[in-house]
Amino acid sequence: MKRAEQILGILLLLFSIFIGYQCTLIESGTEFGMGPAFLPFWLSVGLGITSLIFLVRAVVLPAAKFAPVFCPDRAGGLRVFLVSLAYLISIALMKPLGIPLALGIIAATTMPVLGARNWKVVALTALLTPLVIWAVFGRLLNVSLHMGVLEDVLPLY
Amino acid sequence: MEILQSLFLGFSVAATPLNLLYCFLGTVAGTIIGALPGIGPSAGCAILLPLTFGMGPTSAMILMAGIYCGAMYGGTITSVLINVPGESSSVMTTLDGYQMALQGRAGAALGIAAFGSFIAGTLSVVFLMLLAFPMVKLALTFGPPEYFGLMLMGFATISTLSGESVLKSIMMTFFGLLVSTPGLDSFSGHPRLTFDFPELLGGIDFLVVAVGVFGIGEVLFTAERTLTLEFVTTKIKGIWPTKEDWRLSWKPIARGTIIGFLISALPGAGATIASFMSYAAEKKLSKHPEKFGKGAIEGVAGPESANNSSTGGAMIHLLTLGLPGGGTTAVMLGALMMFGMQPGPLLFQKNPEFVWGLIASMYIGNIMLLIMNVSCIPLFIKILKIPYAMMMPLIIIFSTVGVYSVEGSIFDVGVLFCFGILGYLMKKFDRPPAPLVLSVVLGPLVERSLRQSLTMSLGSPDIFYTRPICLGLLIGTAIMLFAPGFAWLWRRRATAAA
Repeated sequence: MKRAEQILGILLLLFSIFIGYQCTLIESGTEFGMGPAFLPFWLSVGLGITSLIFLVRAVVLPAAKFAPVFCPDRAGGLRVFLVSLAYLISIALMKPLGIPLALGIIAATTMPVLGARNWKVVALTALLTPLVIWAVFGRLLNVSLHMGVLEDVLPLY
Repeated sequence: MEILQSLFLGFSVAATPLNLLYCFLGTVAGTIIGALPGIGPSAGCAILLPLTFGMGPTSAMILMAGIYCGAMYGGTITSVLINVPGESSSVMTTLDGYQMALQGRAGAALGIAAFGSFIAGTLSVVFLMLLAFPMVKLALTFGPPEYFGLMLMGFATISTLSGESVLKSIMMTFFGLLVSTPGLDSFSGHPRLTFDFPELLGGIDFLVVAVGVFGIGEVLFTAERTLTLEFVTTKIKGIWPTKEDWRLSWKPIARGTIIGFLISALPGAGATIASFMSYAAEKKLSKHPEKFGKGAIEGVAGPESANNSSTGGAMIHLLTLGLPGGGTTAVMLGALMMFGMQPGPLLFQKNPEFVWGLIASMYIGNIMLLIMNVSCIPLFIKILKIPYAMMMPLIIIFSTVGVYSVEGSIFDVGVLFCFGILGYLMKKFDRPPAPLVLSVVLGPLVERSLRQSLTMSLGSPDIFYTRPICLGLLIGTAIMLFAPGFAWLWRRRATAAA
């Protein structure tokens, strides 16, 4: 965890430097005081200082002061990775396939990862998800969902 | 008299069939959310907020207040029956509640928690009513510099009293305020930190951050742990407290009510600290402190009353000053602004039916919650047995559609994913989420009050220390921020001297 804290400190420090630099490209002062870049610039300075403190702490303090590992359970870490990956893929598929179908894919992929073993339940949930999303959000709550390939099958209006 | 008239107005709003239904749905959802380990009231309010878009602001806030109050009740169920607190303010209940369950007194623990919560929740709404008008009068004297000072004090309180490292909280506050800055500058119309993404011109919506950090982040964190809920017992008997239970519990309930209200009336301090303080007070005042941790009913009655009493206290500064005290009220403030309401003292003058309708609904909600928690515990246990493998994907799906429905933007869903990962990492690195969400909500208000103040003073910072209230607030902020550091130095010196 000491190494992870060091990496986090470096990333946050770089992020604050980047934001601070971006702010220097915008007007920071006006006739009556603050310009648009004033607050974000000083916030990035504040974030940079606090990140630096944590980075120094992560370098100076002995490893015993931190939790031993970032992810104690490898299987747990794999589950987090797979759920995140499934979510990311379904977001990428939202535009071509439509939101209801992409969310059905989330259900189908994450349920087994999280421990569902009954494939009938998984399949039924995955099939019902687009229908329920369409009925509740699309028809009942009038959310203008991007229906994608289901546009003609499940019309919103 | 004015209060009673206003309350009657409130009941005329809250007691309509539709608002009663929303109050009921909110309390049921809140109880389930509170009972589910990992999903707290902040996540619940954020995830369910998009469902309120078709409603009026009053109905929406009644639903959210129901979720908030319900979550405080719901946390008890899993604390007592499986030794896992449903949410952070129920941690103290596990100490004695679970022991009572092991001794076959789960019903008594849940019963006294329900009655204590009802009494405390109701009394806190009475205190809220009594204090609201004086607070509004005070708030009406505030100008932009005072609001700026007050918001800084809110950030300082949440940083120092949240029980986390002060520096970590300050870091998350800086980060949250930075997240609130992209978009068109409200004064000059100049785009800033948009990185050529036209979607960022409108800024990052607070809901995306709140749902990502509280909702998706929690799902990922839960995925790592594979939680299974194993109940001590599912047969609940003797839920009505006996005379002996009441004799032992009435004082802890009374003290818990006062502690909960006073603690949560500080911007930034909330139910968790209140329940910790109540437990500590009961143990200290008890003639038999050795019984605590072994199934003392006072150890359940006090903290449960304190965490429910905190709902009224938290509403005070939300409604009168427009300042949230924690994650849940930050989401509620964001929701208010989404509905076009301007939270603050003028809310009482311009929208009395909204404010008093909300207050009246909290009375009704507490009655509903008492009935539910006395009679429907077995039903909630059945709901809690829905496997996490089904519950977690449903939360992802709900969060995604909810965030999409705000602007109809898939880009926002991508940002939600990023904040979900951030929320997970924050859990891993032990960074508190409440300061982040609070500062995303308050960011635009902080900047506006700062810039208005500087415009008033023609750019001079004198305005912050020449106005007494503002100066007092800034001194209070400095004391809150630096006191822990000085205390640490003092302890170190004392240890070195010894």
